Amino acid sequence: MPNLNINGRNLSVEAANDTPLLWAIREQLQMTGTKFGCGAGLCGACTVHVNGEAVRSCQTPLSDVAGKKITTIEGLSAKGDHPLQKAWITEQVPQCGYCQSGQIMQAAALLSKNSNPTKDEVVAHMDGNLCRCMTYSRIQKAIMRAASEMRTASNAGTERRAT
Amino acid sequence: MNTHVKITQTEPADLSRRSFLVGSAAAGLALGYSAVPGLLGADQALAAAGNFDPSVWYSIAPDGIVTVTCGKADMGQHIASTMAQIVSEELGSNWKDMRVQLASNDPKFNDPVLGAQITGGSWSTMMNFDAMSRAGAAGRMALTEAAAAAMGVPAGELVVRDSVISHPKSKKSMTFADIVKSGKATKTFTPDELKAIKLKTPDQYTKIGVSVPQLDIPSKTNGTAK
Repeated sequence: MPNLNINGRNLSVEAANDTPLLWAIREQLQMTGTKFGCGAGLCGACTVHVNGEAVRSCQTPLSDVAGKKITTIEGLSAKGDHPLQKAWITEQVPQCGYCQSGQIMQAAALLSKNSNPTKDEVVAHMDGNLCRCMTYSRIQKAIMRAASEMRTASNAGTERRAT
Repeated sequence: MNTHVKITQTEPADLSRRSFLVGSAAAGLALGYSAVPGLLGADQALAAAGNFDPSVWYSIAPDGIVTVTCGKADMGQHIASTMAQIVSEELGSNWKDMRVQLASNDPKFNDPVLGAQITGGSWSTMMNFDAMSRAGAAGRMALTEAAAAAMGVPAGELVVRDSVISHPKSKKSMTFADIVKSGKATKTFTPDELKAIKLKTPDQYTKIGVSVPQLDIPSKTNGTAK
């Protein structure tokens, strides 16, 4: 029975060690913000953070994440007010919304390391996250907006806790 | 802005189900609806006691939140927000007070023109525009009548804007929440009265034709969308 550290909580799940992390998150823990897309690591809908890195949870066995910090869309910010989430609303990004948790988590991993990405860096980083509604241009705009907000906040000396 | 196509209303088979209900009868309705097992969230949420349910299409809670039930499959085209926008235009509610939920498959949520729950062909706005507008307008009239009685002023002198009904002459005002809480919004409409309501003309629109924040978007940024 693996123990998982998800969104700052230690949780044990009744699942075999080779169970994909996504199954544990959605089925055992009933956290349905992370989506099952292709189940083959091809679309990015299931993206979560493991020790701050964006990974495809459908391709990550539980044995790989023991003792590591996992963050899902539910844990990205306390009140859904991460700069990316605010920018997503300002830019009115989601249409059907199915891929958007993965998009936001993928983008958050980039901005946590590089708050001043070029458009090309954004495109390259987001390359593997597919959106059948074609919201790509708004996703790019929202990421640039969030990056700008994060830079402004850090320039103003506002301490932003890592979430 | 698009020209709105005038749909000639054919008489739906169950017009009485869609006609206006007594506001204060919400508790009775609540029993009726929640007695049906296996329904999805829509009915139960709508059936909360103390709500003002002017039609099956929306409900106003005592805190003033207006929840529109959308009988269409919202697959990212934001049709639920569009329905709310049409209701809100005639109702006179503040956009911040609007919420949406998707309907169960109960036939009472059938498309008023098609008589079934069908989504496609860019029909939804066109075929629901009249019903949503009338539902919104009737709700405004019921609330206005209740406000007029409570304030002791003629209903014709009242102004409805952003979920507030005010009487400019006496500077009195009541919010939608105040009126729903009072339980006094009891005006009912027969199908003929509904049909006779004079709707706004396009030059009077303040919400339709304006880009508003889509109501389904926040839940799609934080993992809570179902």
